[in-house]
Formats: sequence, C-alpha cells, structure tokens
Amino acid sequence: MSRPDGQLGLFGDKEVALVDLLDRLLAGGVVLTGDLTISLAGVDLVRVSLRALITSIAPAGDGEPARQDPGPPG
Amino acid sequence: MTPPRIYVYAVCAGKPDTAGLAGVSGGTVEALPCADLVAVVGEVPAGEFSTERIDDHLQDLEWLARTARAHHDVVGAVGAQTAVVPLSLATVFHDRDRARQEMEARRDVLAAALGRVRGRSEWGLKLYRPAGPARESGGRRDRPASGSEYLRRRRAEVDAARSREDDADRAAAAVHDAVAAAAVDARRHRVHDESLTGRPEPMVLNAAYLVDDDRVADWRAAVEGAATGDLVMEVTGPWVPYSFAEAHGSGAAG
Repeated sequence: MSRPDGQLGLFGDKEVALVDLLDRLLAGGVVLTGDLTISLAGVDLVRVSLRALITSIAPAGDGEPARQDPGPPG
Repeated sequence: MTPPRIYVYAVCAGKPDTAGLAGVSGGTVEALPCADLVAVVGEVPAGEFSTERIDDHLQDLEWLARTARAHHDVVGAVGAQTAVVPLSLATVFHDRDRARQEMEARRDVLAAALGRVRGRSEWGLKLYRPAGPARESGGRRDRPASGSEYLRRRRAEVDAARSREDDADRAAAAVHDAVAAAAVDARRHRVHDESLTGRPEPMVLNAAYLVDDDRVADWRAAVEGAATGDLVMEVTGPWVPYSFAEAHGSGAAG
C-alpha cells in the first residue's frame, strides 16, 4: 500500500510496526476455512510470545518495580 | 516430495498484475479466478505450512514477522491496483481446487466485502494517556503527622490516579466518536500493553477507521479537530482494509 503523503506531523511516514500489522492480520482479514488456519488459541499465543520477546529485550534495572501480571490477553 | 500448499492472500474484483511479486516463504504469486472474483494465491512449502508445524512457527517471532510482512507486501501491492479484501494470516489449502472450491462457496460474502471496501482505505488511530504527576498533594513532601494522615493522603493519591484514568477513557471515547463520525465504519482493536508499545504512557484507544479515499482530508481534519492536549495521538495508514474485511455487528469490538 502506498505510504501516507505526510504533510502533517501527526501523519508522518513511518515503517509499519509489527504489532500494528499483527493486530490487523490476526484480528482482521476474511476468515475462510482453509485446510490449515491459525486458531484463535494461536493468536493469543502470538501475543504471549510478543510480550515475552519485548520484555526480554527491554533494558533492565530502570528502577521501575515489577509490573503486576496484566492477566490473560483480551 | 509433498507438493506445495496454496496460500491465499486476498480476493479482488479485477485481475491484478502479480508479476515479480514475492510471496510468503519466497514463493511465487499468481491470480486464480474463482467464480467472478479473483483470488491472489501462491505456493508455499507443505512442510512449513502443516498442522503439525504451524503452532511451533507461531511461537517463532522471526518466522511470524517474516510471514506477516510478506503477506502484507503482497496484499499491499494488489491493493494499489484494485479493490482488495485481505484474508486472515496463513489461510492455506492443499491445492488450487480446494482453494477455488472454498472461495466459490463463500462468493457472496467475499463480493459483499469487496463492495464494502471499494474506494476506501483503513486508517489507524492510537491514543495514549500521559502519565500523571507523581504526587497529587501539590508538591507537599512534609511527613504525615500521623498514620491516619498518611492513609488519607495515600487514598487521595489513589483516587486522583483513578479519576485521571476515567477522564482519559472518557476523552478517548469522545475522540473515537468524533473521528468515527467522519468515517464509513470504525472498529476498536485491543489496546496494547506497555511492554508492546515501548512507551511509558498507557494506551487508551487502538482503533481502525474505514475512510472514503476522496474524504481522507475531511477525516484528517476530524482527527486534528478532536485532538486534545490530554491525550497523545498516533495515526497510521493508509492500510488495506484488514479490519473491515469481515462484516461485524458492532463498531466497538474492543
């Protein structure tokens, strides 16, 4: 898809963030019964892995107390 | 060797030029006529796209990111040429006949979706609530005179934080309503946890809007008009209409 023309600061041209893309690719799109499709359980697994990844690469020890478990996605 | 599987990217009304497009797993991309519509499909390795392997792949972020971006690139290239309805990630059939069979069985639903998104694009809007002041007591840092004074102050801080959250939710809902009014349709996605956004401010709105291509300027004006100093805004788009491919009952799924 073409990039935004970006005359406004708010509408800047940025690379599509993976998390925004996954919102749309996993929660959007027409769902057809393929011979293989990602199950809804799989979608939640994706969110868990994303969170795990980002937590694992986030800088540690910034003085923030550990956040409470936000609970299961959704 | 097992023959390749057929990955379906999208459905469109006209026949798009797929020459030179690289698909998921580096596969080729082709147009496959199905009834009066055209599916955009490609071959993918059967070993990679098997029921046994897919759950493992979903745990593999590199695989997921690569697949999502390849899917997105194909859908975007097709969407630049003709009205397109994207399919959910990793919709895979054993062969072209099975894919065609399923498309033809769902022809009316797909045609209706194409009608809904033709001449329109999706735009995203995310709102964040800036963190409030660390203390609500006007900078007063003197020690509480008593335990009950301490508890009273603490309760006031908690109440103030909760009230900021409520205010932000109300403000976000008002922005969403105003921006949705300038769109054909709107849908709320789940808000992202801070660990996903990488921002200190909590996300209070993650929404998608279906906007007529010739009314984008009006929609942008609505976004700017709804802007409030109390919320941080982030706009993404234009997107192919992923969030509006499926008919959905309510505008607020999130």
